[in-house]
Amino acid sequence: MKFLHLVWVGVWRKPGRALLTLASVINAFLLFGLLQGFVSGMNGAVADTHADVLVTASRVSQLEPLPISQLPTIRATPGVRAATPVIIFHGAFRTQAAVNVRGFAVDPVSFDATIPDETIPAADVAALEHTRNGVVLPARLAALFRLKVGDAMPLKSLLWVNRDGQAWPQQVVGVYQSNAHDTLFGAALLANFDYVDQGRTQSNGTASLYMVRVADPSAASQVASRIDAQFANSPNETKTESERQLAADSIKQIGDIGFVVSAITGAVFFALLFSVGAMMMQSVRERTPELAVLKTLGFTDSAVLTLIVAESLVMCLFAAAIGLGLAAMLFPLIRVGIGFNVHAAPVLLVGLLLAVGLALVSGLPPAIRGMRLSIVDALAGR
Amino acid sequence: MSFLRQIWSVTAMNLAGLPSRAGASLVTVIGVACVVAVMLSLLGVGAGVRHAAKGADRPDQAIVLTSGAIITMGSFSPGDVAQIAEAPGIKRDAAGKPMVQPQAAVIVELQSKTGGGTNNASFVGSGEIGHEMQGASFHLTKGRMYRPGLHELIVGDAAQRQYKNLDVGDTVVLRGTPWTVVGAFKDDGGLDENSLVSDADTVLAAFARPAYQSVTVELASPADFQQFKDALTSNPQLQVKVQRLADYAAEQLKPLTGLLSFIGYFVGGVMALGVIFGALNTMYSAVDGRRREIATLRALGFNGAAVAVSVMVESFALAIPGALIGAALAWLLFSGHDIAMAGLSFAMQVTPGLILLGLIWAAVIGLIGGLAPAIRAVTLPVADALRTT
Amino acid sequence: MAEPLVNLRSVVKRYRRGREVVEVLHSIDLEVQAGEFLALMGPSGSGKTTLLNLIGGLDRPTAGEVVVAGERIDDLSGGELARWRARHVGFIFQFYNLMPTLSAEANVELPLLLTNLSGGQRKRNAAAALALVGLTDRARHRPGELSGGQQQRVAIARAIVADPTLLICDEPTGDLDRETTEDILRLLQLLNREQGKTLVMVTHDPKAASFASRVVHLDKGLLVDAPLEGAA
Repeated sequence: MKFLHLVWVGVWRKPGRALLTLASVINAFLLFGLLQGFVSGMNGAVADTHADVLVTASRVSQLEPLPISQLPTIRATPGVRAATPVIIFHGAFRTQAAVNVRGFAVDPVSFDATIPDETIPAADVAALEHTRNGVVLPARLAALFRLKVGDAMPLKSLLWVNRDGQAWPQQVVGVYQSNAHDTLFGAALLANFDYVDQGRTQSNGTASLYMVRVADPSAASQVASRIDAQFANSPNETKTESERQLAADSIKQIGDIGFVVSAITGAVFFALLFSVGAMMMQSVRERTPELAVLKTLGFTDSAVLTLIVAESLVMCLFAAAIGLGLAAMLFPLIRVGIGFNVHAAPVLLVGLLLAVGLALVSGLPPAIRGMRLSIVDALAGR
Repeated sequence: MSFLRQIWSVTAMNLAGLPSRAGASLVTVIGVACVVAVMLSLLGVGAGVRHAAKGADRPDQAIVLTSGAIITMGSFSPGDVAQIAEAPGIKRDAAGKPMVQPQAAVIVELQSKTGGGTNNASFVGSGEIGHEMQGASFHLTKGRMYRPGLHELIVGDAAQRQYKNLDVGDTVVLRGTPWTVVGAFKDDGGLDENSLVSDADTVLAAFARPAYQSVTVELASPADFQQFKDALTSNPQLQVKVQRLADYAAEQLKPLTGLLSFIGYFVGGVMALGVIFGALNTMYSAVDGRRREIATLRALGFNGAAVAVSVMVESFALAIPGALIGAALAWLLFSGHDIAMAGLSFAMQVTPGLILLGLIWAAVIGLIGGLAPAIRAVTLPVADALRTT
Repeated sequence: MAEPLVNLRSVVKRYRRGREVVEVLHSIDLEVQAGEFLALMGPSGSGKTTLLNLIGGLDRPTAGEVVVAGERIDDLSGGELARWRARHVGFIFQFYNLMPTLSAEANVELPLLLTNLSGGQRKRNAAAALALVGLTDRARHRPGELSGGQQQRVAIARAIVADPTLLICDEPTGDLDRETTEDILRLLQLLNREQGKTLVMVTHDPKAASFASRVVHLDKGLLVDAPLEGAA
């Protein structure tokens, strides 16, 4: 620790150069933090899904409706604890511009028993039962549209046309906080199943999918095959998957984001490695006589090596901490913008490890040069 | 000595010294190469989508959709199609038939070749006159056309590459019904290569759909669009909206291409910022390392501006080759590279326009990275610089 | 006579300059007693600095023995030599060689970082050394803000702060004006006489050598014992 002052002074030897180098390292770690935060949020969304919830949809496609007559059969399937029909509603709400919002029409009575999501209060779901044209909003949407309970929220659906006209007159009956579990089915608006089903111009008496809760999560895949077997070779074949599998698939559909992010990060750090390495090399070259004096005073070769690597470490860690800190401050924006919860701790930890790696790789060549320096030659100006 | 000759001689002197500063100079070259390679690769995805969407190729085609819903299960009856066919402005083929084709697209699940999972693909039912309305780039690469009424289909090249059981002669089971693959087609890398195509009425019957989803028409000339649109929208029996095919394609892909552009420019911008810091470092140390030399030139009567320009030239001389290396990397690695994204497969495109953008990006980095050091070189107090080491 | 503090026996030093091998020192024998202030004189290229580097443990002889304070240092490894220097030698250079980024007191404190002293003790010792050279009021200044003479005083404070056995001075006044030269030489003489420090000083200035208690001459790599004062 007593050498820290020496290290710190070395970092700031040329303030202009140090600031520029710090800025480029901060910049790189900010980008790393944001990209990696996004990926971690995406993976987190998969991990946050319920282990005991299955989704039954048409084998043909997720947009293909299933007759509601299948519901009693599903409920009677051994191993099924509860099941609820869902219509994919996906609406558009116009404020200044039309904003698309994910939404589902659910049956208030069976929904609460099926989805063990403590973040949507039972009272809000129950309110849907009393107000047929009610809608329950996640808090961030309510804040975005400046809506509160009791306000009207005329919605267009991306899928369904209302018999009465073009908009689905909906009234806000509940606003829920969705912090812990922003799963694919959370953080969306909820409407009344019967109201949407009876009001739409087509596909009446069908559900887009069924949510099924199993009694024993470890037997989930057996229950899924059992459900599908009952509808095999019927006009409405089903495909039942766990909520987790579905979430993983839908992310896979977007493309190989993990690869893209790694490639970008790789390019950024490749460039940074040279940038920091060149700066350290130049700094060591300029200080040749000073390093020779330190050795004269009795600093060993390895002490000089350590000193230079420590400079690189202090600089990289200092800048990485700032860059990652800035990224962490922007994580809530990822949540509001995309709906993913970012698990900050692993991102920051990997970032700091990366900073250590960067410091070692870029600091070692100059440090070895400093270590090998011959006192006699350096003092004689050779 | 003329100003230009001064610039030339000072610049030549600077550049001759470049090899001795190779390490530091390489930082800028590598940095710019990385930025340009990453940015062009990301933007190349968007360019690939736009190229594949192609809507702009057919200014004479328009699409009729149900107004209200954005994704529809199908809402045009044969009667509706007949009404649309009577609207003014529609081109007629050699036999005098109006060029109007109803379409019935359904989503089907196919076995992916990679990973073993399933993916959604679109199965398009095309009207009888459909093949007459295809662009010149559409052609069968193998087999023959499907015959209406039979469970026969043709597959696009991209779909064939992505999914199992789609070779000509194969039988593929879609919702319990076996379909025979009778042909394969290409359409210049267009997005329709991702789909399976068969006869519209056969598809409707097989999937128990009551109605078509959209109607595409070919107009006598692009200028007839407004007339056609007005006729349909004023018809009280139809609740429709009419769009040019190009506008429709652009609207459909806007969220995707918009997002891709945003990511490309955002990442490219943030990375460029980092490289600017590195370039500033390089050029500042280049100027610092030549304090005496610059001061000597100034003392000899060289114009300060000539010295500044020479610094800027050196900055560009590092950034531009970097951009070329980056563009070459992006082009070699990714141009024509197939990507699967959002259920579509298409080829990335590193276009000349993008390469130009990369050069401009690099020029901006060179400009900003060289400007402040150039100013320092000019404002250097000559006497001090000559005295100190 | 007591055991000499510095004892060089048949010391030879050769350097390879390109393809040529140059023998800078030919079989030197030299003894320095504890408490001496030895001036080493000779024309440039005579091997003065090379000899000084051998005595100070900065370099190793090609042949021969170097014994300082009873320890043979010619066969120590690089790390051992570094630790030995930290304990036994203080260096004073012609161009001061202070760290430009550190204040005067931080420069003086540098050798103490290699000891086990506490932070407070280090500060007190550094302050005492600065006081001894008369620069207490300049403690917070950087080298760039000090005159040449002041910088050399800081360098002397740095050399004595860890209380070394031996002070090695390489042309300590070579870059200073007449008046400052005398100040610095008197300070070195004071350290020798009042603190009992043993000094070995290389100089080509007879005036500087006159402050020493003994003068030896080096010419073409050989010691010339005859007191040829004024010959340089």
